[in-house]
Amino acid sequence: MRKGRNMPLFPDEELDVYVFDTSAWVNAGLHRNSEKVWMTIIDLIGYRRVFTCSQVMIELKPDPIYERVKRYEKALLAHDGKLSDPEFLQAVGQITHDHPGMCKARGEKTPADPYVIALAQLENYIVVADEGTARRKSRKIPGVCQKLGICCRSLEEFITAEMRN
Amino acid sequence: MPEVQVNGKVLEWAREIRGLNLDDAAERLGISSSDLLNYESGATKPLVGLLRKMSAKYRINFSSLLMPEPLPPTKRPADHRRRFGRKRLSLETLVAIEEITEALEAFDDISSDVRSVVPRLRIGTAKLTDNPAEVAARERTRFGVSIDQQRKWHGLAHARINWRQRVEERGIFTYMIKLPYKELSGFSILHDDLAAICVNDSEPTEGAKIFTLFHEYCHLLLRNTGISDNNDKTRVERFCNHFAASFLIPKGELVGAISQSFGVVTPFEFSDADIKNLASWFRVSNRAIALRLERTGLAPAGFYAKRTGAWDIPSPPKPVVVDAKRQPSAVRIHLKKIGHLHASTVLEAVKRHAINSLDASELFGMQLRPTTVKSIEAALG
Repeated sequence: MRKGRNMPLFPDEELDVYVFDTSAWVNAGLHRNSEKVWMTIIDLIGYRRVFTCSQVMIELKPDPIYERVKRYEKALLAHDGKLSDPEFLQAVGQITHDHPGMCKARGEKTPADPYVIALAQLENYIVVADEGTARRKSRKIPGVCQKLGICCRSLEEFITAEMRN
Repeated sequence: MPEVQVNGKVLEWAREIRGLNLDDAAERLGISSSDLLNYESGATKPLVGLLRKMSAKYRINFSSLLMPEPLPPTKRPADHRRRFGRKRLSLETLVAIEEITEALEAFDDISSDVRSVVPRLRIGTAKLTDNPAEVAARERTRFGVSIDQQRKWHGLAHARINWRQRVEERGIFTYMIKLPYKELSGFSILHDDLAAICVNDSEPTEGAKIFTLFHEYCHLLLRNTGISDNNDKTRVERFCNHFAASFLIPKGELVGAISQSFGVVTPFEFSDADIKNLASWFRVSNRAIALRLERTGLAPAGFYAKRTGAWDIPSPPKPVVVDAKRQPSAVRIHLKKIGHLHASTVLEAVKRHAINSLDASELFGMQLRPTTVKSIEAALG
């Protein structure tokens, strides 16, 4: 880990903590400054400022970025204990119920979206999602986050905020 | 493993939207019906492991089982089935309906952003008071396929591929999914200006699948979609059958083929071999020919039932010999299922940056790696 970057200057300084959605990981791998972006993410993982959830890892599996992300799996999935936490599961269920379009509530597959949002909601984290425009606003993570009062950034916004340091 | 606080009513909802009764569901889960009832009544709280099993066996999203309340019921497609009775729709059929509805909604979303990516429906309309044979003649002109062209197709499988392509050219997404045989022949869905036809790929012959394709096409013309079994008991189904038969086997052409090949005075008691010959002539099923002969008065009344009765006697299934070298690729098998229009629309949406690769893989139903995309493009021609 490189020292001196993305560290709080003062002990009581509150820094943003992020939870990455699948789309953000995929686009991080495709970014024109992929290596630089990746180094920043690794730094932040070391400082426990970037997390994800196991549902995202499942979705990522077929993507080339998966192997890279997997190396940091233990740190990234530090919150996975929550998968048996009643409060977390309740939040996932509530999000699924209130946003059945995004969560494909009548469908077969379980998308990672409600897990990412529930984690951000309970831990007061920022969601990083880089979804395409294919779905209606009400069916996309940014739209749902906005409705729930959760901060959500695109990958580019995340890069702008973290790489200026 | 921890217990989870779930609403029993949600578990009951999940079971019911998949068309499972208590006993069927309990059997799938490997528990007793009374145990399942206890979970659904809230008397017992399930462990996470059971919920995961329920999600897998009911083929429903795990997070849906965690919802505080069931979702409101959605409108299911109308059920036009009568032939084998209106038995409960199987889990496979309900999932297929859900998947295709979801795909149409996704295409609708894409078209709201980049309109030109998704083809619009380009078909006429029909009313039940119309003459189905006239509607068929009109649509046949619209399709621009002559009988000579139809006859040049090499057998029924080739005819099915060609007809499917022609239907997709009208902006209709077509799917071929293996669903329980004798439950339904197919279904059609209309979602705003987008339409889909699903043909049951378990239908016994390619000819039957072609017939169902046009039966469902007629449902779309009537703007009266739903689940069909091509029965002759309801007015809508009769109309669609009449349309499909007239479309595929125009009366004038049938009369011409008979006078050319048989030179008999009609109505005539055609033999099984005659029927087979005519079916081969028009690249349709034997049943379609038998039905059409009777309906057009070229065969005596009762001819269809008499001829096909013997065909309905079940015979033991033939052993399937799998030649690994001649097996189509996974991409081709999947393309047959989802249709070329669905696949090309997804690829076009990616190229136009309307969706990202993740959305594309999800919508395609298969992981889209660069090599897979190349195979798809090659298969699409």
